[in-house]
Amino acid sequence: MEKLLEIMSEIRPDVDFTTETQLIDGNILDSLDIISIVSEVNDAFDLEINVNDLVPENFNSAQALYQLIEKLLNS
Amino acid sequence: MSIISFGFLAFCVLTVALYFIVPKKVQWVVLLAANTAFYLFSGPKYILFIVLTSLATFFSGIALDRINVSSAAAVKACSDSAEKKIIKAAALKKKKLICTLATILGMGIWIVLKYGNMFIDTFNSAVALFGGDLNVSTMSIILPLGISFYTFHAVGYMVDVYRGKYPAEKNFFRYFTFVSFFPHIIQGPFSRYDGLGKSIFEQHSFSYDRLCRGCARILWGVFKKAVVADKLGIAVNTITDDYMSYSGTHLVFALLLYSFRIYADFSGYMDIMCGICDILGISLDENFNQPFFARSTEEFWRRWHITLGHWFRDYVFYPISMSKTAQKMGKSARKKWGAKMGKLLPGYFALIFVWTATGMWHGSSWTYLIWGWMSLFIIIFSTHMEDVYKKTKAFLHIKDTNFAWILFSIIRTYVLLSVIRVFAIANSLPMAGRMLYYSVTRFSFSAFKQPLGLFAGMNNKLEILFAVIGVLAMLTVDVLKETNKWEPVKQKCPMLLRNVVYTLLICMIFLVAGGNNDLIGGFMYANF
Repeated sequence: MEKLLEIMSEIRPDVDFTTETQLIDGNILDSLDIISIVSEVNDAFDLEINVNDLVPENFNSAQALYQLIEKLLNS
Repeated sequence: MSIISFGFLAFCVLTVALYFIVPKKVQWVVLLAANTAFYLFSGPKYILFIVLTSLATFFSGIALDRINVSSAAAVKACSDSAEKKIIKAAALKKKKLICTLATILGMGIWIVLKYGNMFIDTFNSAVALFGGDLNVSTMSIILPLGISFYTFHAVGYMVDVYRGKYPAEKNFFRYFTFVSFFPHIIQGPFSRYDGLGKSIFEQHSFSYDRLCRGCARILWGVFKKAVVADKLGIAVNTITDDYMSYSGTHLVFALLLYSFRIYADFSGYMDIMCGICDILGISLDENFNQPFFARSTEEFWRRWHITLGHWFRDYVFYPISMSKTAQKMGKSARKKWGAKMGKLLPGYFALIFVWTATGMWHGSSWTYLIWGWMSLFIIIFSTHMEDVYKKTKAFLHIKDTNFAWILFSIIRTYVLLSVIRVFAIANSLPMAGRMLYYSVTRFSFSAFKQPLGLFAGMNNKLEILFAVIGVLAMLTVDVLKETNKWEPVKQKCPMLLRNVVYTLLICMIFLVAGGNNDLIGGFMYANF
């Protein structure tokens, strides 16, 4: 989780990813932020987040994204 | 079949009546019959094109689904990870081939019919420029109804099945009911099979509340179209068709008015179709979210024609920006130019494709392409300069919550978008250039001495008054929606006042259209 928070904070230093739960629904992250995060996460965790995973439920919070990463790593 | 006509009204009444009379299990069959009848009424010979595109994407969907299922079973049964990768790669290769062929067929028909003449004209002009005398004849064709919409619905469905988002539909007639669904075939919205498709095949009971709500929304849509869009359209067309005869003030006014005209036209259509679907109990995606409250061009496109933006985001922007090529570009840019460019370049690269496609989608002429690229330039420029804006605002002590700043941002966005829309109005690039040039050089404040004269071509003062009332009413509704007061206001509104408003809307529609639907023009987006 710390690794993920580090990646997200590097891309958007102005957002508190430890508490924010409306990253997509609250229009905090835009599509450019999302693809940057996906690119970094793919490299850092050696997995492949595909287009289907790009839904608000997976990106509204760092916790939700972490759960997606765990799911993909275990599949 | 014209949407605002007594014929269409009778068609809707019959469809709704049959829909709730038949057993719920076959309600979708009524929709299939209604869709087919609607299409046949609008041009029988063109139904072949929609059937062909539907068949191609339907059978491709079945084939893709089979590969998804068989490869998933093979992967599950396999314990060796290297072998799993081989199975997945082989399945992906087959799926890509099927998806590409069906996309080429579906999109190919659309591109040839919609852009064939544009390419022929360009070719002829290029030959003439170099002194040649070859002249290829243009095609004499009328675009099949809704081709720009049903092609995207069908291709979107197939790509979703390719990605394994949901299983393929096994019944062609059910699939065709979705693709040809009459409320979304002429002007959208761009629906998804797992959204609208699901809603279409659910069983619905008749609801009096939904009937009232739906009829009210249809009435509001007809009002926007007949009283606002069509009447403002007279002024816009009169000035822009003969712009040399008018002052720059008239031209500026026409450009600003055009934004309201197209909003009233397009959102009016959406209100009518959402109202019909509401009566049936079917959820149709909304296409607007108070677009004139956008504070930037990028935000405007999140509020305007929302489902088109989502389509391009899911099927063009994400696949391209997440492709290996774009990601490599991003990494290379990060090393050369720093983290910011590394982050933004894959997105910029994908946006070039998105806005080229958006421009082309809106019209089959080069002016639309320029309009798309201008929108692209504004979005990339403002994204890239965001840090500078923030620093400037901090230096000037401007807060994002400051009302004056919000108002300035809204007006700036509206003016900017109105200006670049000149490329959507003009027939050619030189004409667009001349219109912008005259807007500035021939601008004169003296034209404001006769404000009614700005509404050129609108000779009836009552029509001007109604159109202005209509624009103010639309803005008032949007203000209430933007401030989350619309629903409470509607609920608190007494029945008497509600009925007075409905009566006024009906009176205004009949006064401007005279009950003759020939006086009401076609919808603008139906041409796209």
